[in-house]
Amino acid sequence: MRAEALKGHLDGLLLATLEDGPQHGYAVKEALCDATGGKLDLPTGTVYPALHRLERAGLIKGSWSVVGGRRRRTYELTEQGRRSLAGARDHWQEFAAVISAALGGGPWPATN
Amino acid sequence: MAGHELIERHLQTLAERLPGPVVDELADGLLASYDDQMERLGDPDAAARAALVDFGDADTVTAAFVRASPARHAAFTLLVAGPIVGLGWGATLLTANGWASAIPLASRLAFGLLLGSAVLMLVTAAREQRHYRTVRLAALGGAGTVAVLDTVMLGTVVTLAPPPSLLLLVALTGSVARIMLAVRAIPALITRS
Repeated sequence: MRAEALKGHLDGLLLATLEDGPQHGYAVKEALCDATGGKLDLPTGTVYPALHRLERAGLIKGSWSVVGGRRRRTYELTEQGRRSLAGARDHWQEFAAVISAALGGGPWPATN
Repeated sequence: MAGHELIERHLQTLAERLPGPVVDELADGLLASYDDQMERLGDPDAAARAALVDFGDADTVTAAFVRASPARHAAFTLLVAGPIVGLGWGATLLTANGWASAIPLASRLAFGLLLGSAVLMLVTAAREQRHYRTVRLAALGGAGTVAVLDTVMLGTVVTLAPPPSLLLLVALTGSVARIMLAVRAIPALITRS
């Protein structure tokens, strides 16, 4: 899947990977890849700037630890992040229903 | 697990472009990826190459950080605000009834030079793709200079006490707003090494 297709959805996808608990950047990328059956395999290095942006926005919180002699930054969802994730899910379901109805030639808005 | 020469070289390139804590975090991710590839492939060279392909090249990674940097956003905001505030002051000075001529030529030239350098720094911060530190420093310099220039304009108005007008009020409001923008941006540009 091309990166442009993710425009506007990457934040929600990254937040979703942190819903079950704290993860470090590489684990976030792997979780995203696993959750999509390998269809969303972003370059690892480009996941970090997005995480930093989410942290600046207050949606996730990062903390440092040392694992195996390496400094590791782990991220977890904030309350604001959980609300944003719920909003992203609602928005996506509405958007997907509308586009599915339109592309499938069905009624708009979708009613079932 | 120890790293690999290719990984070390990649991290060195990133270290020349990005802040230390960011490179520490990237190093952890890249080495974790290398460890995974070692488990999968068993060969250090193949694992290092696979990890690097998965990670992204230094230009792509740096550009992604630069695009998301607060310095770049601050530079864009100040560049957009520049013509608006400039237009306000231009109109004010053109329609001024003589009070602007009391400003010495040397002061006007110095102001123009500083303004030019501020624009140059902000344009550099907005356009640079590969050097995060350059973006941060250019945005910091640009924001600081803009704040000084707007403060000078406010000080000039206070000193010369020109007759009040709507245009002058608009220009003053623009300068105050821009000072606030710059002052709010500066702490993040200083602390986010």
